[in-house]
Amino acid sequence: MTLFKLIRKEIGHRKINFGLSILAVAVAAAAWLLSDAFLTSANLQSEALIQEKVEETEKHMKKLEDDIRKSMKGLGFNIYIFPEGQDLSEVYSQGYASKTMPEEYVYKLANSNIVTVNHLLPTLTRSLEWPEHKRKIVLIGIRGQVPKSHGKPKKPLVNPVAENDMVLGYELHKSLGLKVGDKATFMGREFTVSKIHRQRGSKDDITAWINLGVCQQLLGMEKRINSILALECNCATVDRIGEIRKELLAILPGTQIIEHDSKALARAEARNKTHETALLEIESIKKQQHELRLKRENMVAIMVPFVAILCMATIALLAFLNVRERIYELGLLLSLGVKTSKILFAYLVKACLSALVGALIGVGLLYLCLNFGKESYFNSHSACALVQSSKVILIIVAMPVLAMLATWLPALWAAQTDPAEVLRHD
Amino acid sequence: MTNSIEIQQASKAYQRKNQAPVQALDKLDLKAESGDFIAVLGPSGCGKSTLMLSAGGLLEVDSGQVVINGQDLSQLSSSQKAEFRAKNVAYVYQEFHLIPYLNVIDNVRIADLALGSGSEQKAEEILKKFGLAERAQHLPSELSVGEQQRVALSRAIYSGAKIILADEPTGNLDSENAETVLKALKDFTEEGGIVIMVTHDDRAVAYAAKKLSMSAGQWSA
Repeated sequence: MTLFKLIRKEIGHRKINFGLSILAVAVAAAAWLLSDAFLTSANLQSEALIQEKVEETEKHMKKLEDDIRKSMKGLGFNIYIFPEGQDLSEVYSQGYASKTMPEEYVYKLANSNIVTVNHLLPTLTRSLEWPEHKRKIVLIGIRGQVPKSHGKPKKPLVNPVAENDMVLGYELHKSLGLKVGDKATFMGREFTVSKIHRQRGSKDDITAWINLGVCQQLLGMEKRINSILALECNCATVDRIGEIRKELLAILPGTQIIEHDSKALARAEARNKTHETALLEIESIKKQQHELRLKRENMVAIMVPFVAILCMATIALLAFLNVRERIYELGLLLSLGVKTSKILFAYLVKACLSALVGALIGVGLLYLCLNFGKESYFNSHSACALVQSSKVILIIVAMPVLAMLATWLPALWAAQTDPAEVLRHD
Repeated sequence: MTNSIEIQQASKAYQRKNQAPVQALDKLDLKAESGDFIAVLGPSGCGKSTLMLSAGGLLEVDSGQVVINGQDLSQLSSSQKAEFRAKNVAYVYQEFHLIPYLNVIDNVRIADLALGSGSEQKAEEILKKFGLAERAQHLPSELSVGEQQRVALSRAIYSGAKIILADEPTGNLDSENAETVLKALKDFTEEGGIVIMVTHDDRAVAYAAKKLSMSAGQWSA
């Protein structure tokens, strides 16, 4: 006869008591793991929602970015580079810079590895009187596009003007009666009208374009220019002017850069604004989800100990009932000389066994619930995603410990039964 | 080896709330040696059960001594006392106190839990001696009252103790079963054991070699 045989036979005799202990543990284990699975499922759902929103925003932003690129390409993202110390208010009022810079700057830029700027057009602009016709015009000396020494060759956007040619704005052509092929004398030098621009409704209509070298010679400003126009600039970032400025200033320190076209910039700003709004919305969703998560975690933090205490109380009550029922048996065992430690041990082993079986049934119940409620309650998440194996192991280990703790007092009561007291009153 | 049990000037009182204490044992002496079969008689409440419990060390006396085989029980810790009792003293009760979910042979061998070892063969031999060999696998609920008491007696003998303290062992038995039990107890004393038996049963008294009457915790004439 062994203690384990006694335990086994006693379990078989008091099946309901033992079964109820198992049930209490199984329900507690399943409730514990299920609440955890609910929490994980809700958190995964929340993360998926945020991720979906982020992806949606990213997609939207990408589309906006593409739109910007397309519009940039169509509109031409152009910048002006002006000499160091140039008063920009003067540029805005008279349309050109009064200060000049070396023409060499444009070659320096072309020979650099600059990637944000594509087409480089050096110009020398002056507002003056056409002496032969006694009228105010804008004279622009251009040399056409300065090719960049690296990268894929670009198709020139502006054709150069030959040394003896002159391109006229619409108003000059109209008022002076000059047509393509006509000869025109400017500052004592004869030019052939090579092209007439259509009416633009701007200063271009009273502008005459001549070769840059000739212009410099006529104005006595050899190798000087007063602006570089950069056309079709690339911009990868939202702060495109900042990006270009950073790159240009590293090559041409002191120069001043302004954006020539504002429509693309406005769109970029709009895009920027949209991005900021989307980010704020995502942050708001994140915050909301975080608050919900905290609420859920708080609920679980209350529920899990509550269920554990309820389970322990049930086990303790069942153990007390068991001791009460077995009081004469315990008295007999103690009168036979069975040590109190053996009685204590028997109760704890039984509690441990019931908790172990209960925990395993609880885990089984959990997987059953997860399987049946997968679509309805767990957002189609798999059991593996919702239940960590470490938690299952923890439950299987923790439940017997809790059950033994709950049984400790009744077991102590059983072990300290006074056989004389019991048998005296039998 | 000679076995003995000696109670010297043992007193035991039960304290009661707001009432005078009940003196169950009052400077009582008792001495028994191997082969003694003592019947203790007396009215209910005279202290017979207290005497039995004190004699086996289940109850500590307020004063006096209980010495079994030369060992003063008051000198032992409760754990040592349990171990000592398992080897030296066995009880037989009127209510049998069989464990309901254990079959006959397991009920007999329940003392193994205290002794730490046992023998299936020894248990079978004792059951055979008491005519219970066929009932070895039966549960107590499947036995007659007489059979149940014989199982209880088998349990006491199986433990190997040489002192049996029997409290009304024939109280619930018919004459045939009572005879069997009393004969077994007599045989036990003839083999060197000691039996101290509390009883009201004249049949039982007839088996005892020594008769002692108790009244108010003392021996009476």
